[in-house]
Amino acid sequence: MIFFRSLRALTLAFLFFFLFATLATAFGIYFATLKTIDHMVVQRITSTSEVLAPEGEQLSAGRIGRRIMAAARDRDTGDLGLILLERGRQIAGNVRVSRPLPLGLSQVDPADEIKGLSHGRVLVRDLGGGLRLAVIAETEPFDNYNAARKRIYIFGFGSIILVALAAATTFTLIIRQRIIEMRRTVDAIVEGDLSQRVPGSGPHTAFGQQAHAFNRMLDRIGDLMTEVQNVTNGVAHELRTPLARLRNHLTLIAHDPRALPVRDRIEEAQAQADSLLSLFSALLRMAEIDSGARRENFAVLNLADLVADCAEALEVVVEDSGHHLSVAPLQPIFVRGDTQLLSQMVINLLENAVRHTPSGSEIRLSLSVAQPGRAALIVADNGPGIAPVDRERALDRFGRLSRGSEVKGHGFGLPLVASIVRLHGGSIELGDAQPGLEVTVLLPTA
Amino acid sequence: MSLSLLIVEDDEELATQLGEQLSLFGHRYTIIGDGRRANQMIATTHFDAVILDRILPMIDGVTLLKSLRQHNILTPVIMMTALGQSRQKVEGLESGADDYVVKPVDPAELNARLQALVRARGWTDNRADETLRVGDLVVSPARHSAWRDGKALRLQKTEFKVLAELVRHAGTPVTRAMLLERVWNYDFEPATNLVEAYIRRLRIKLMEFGGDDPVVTIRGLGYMIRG
Repeated sequence: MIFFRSLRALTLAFLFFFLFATLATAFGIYFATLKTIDHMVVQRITSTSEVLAPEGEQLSAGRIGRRIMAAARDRDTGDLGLILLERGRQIAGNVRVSRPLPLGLSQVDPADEIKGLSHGRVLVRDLGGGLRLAVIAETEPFDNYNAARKRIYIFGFGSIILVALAAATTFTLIIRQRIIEMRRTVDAIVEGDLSQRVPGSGPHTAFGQQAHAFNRMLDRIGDLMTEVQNVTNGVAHELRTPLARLRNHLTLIAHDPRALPVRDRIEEAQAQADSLLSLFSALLRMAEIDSGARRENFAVLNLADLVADCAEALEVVVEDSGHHLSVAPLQPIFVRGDTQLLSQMVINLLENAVRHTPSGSEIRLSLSVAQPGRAALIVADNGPGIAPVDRERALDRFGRLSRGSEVKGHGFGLPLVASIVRLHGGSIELGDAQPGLEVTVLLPTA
Repeated sequence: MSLSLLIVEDDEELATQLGEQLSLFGHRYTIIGDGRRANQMIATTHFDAVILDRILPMIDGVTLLKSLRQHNILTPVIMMTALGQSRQKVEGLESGADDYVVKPVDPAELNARLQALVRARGWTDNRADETLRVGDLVVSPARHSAWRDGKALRLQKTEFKVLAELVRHAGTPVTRAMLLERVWNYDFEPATNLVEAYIRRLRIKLMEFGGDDPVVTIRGLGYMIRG
């Protein structure tokens, strides 16, 4: 049934079966009618032959000849060709044939040059005593009917097929349009625009009701997401204030001369407070990105310049940490986006490579058009990489928190990158650089 | 430098706390809880700078700021914006704010920005290219060159920008966030020690021909060049 999962395949299958059933019906009717007509013609010439020369009666040639002539004048049998032959020679009849006719049933056609008859069926009976009786029935009126029937079939069944084809196409287009509308809505929502809804088509239509149900579901999801965002924002804001106060307090203590012996430990506590503050900052930043509000800042920019600036900015850090950064030649590639966020994306990817690979590791950065309309930014290193089972979790902002040290250190850098990529309508994939981690970001070009 | 500050914030507890923390740096402060009274106060009293909350009763921060600038009142203004609301920052700067800080406000960061702002008030656009002199350091933004004790320093573009920022605010601390914003144009803090790495390089180049290290590290805050 996999074949029928595509709307096009389903329509084609429907049309194929419909066409097959219609044509089979048409041919069935055609051949059944033809057989019935043939049967009726044969029955008529057989019964006429029987009437002229009944089976078992030994009639003289003259008597049969008179019967033939009478039948030829009769209204009911006047359209039949009647011939009496004696040892192959015609002795009576209302038509002539140019060739000897075989015994039993056979066909006659224009080649037989029977006057006033083109197509017909003939029954030749041996009457004994060298006599043979041939009864010919004209099938031409039926042939004409046959042509008319063909026309009826072609126009009748042809128009049925055309109507079905038009109906199937219209049906497919309507369904496809609804699917496209729904997909656009889903795409917009996935990119963070929760305000998008499927356009309705009247509350009493099946599509309208479906759109309404879908939109109600989106309303509910939107409410839940807003609640979650509010809780996240609320918690982050609420915790940041006392944390900032605590940090300020530690700064004041550190400046007190009496704290001199434990200054290192105070600074350690300060660093921990800073780390917590930056964690909340990252959460709030992600919440802002996910809300789609930053889309207002979008402008067309040259991603190659941005990537070059970021690489240049981090070059010093890369060198100081004993890493090597190689940037593949950059060609101008234009995308629509937020300069700050895209810079943060590139910086985070490079920092991720610096922080999670040992000194001496190679970091490779490249930017290219991977496929039409898609820019590919690749940051690869030859460090320890991330095991395939942990890759998805490395992009999940709470993956690290819930699973402790399993994806240790990949922190909020990659989830933040994933949020930025999502906002820009792109995709991110963590792969194996053999050895090392290879992060591929695909972004739509402008 | 002791400054006379106006804090426009409707959360009384937060405003008082902020005022007390700023007074530790030697500043004087006045607190106003709504935009309308703040407007009148700024029109009649001299302040060195205004710390303005974005959301206020009566008249909101952005409307107040626009009104001040329309009336040609050019008192330096620092907006306080909520974290994760970059729109507020953009609105504030577009409305005429000189700088912004993110809530909860770090008093040391706010102090550094206030000092920088009030000092830089003299710098207008047409003076931004003027040669700066601090001790034996000479920085020419127009020529993208710097000298120490008459000897030309071989600085890269970014190192030069860091030095120019420090020299422009000589005598007052320049925070890491300020450097990230003004030198790299980042509104985020990188996870690595990007600023420290550049300062380290800058220090080496500044002392290449001898002399003391002119860059002072202010722990947990930023850097300063002695005025």
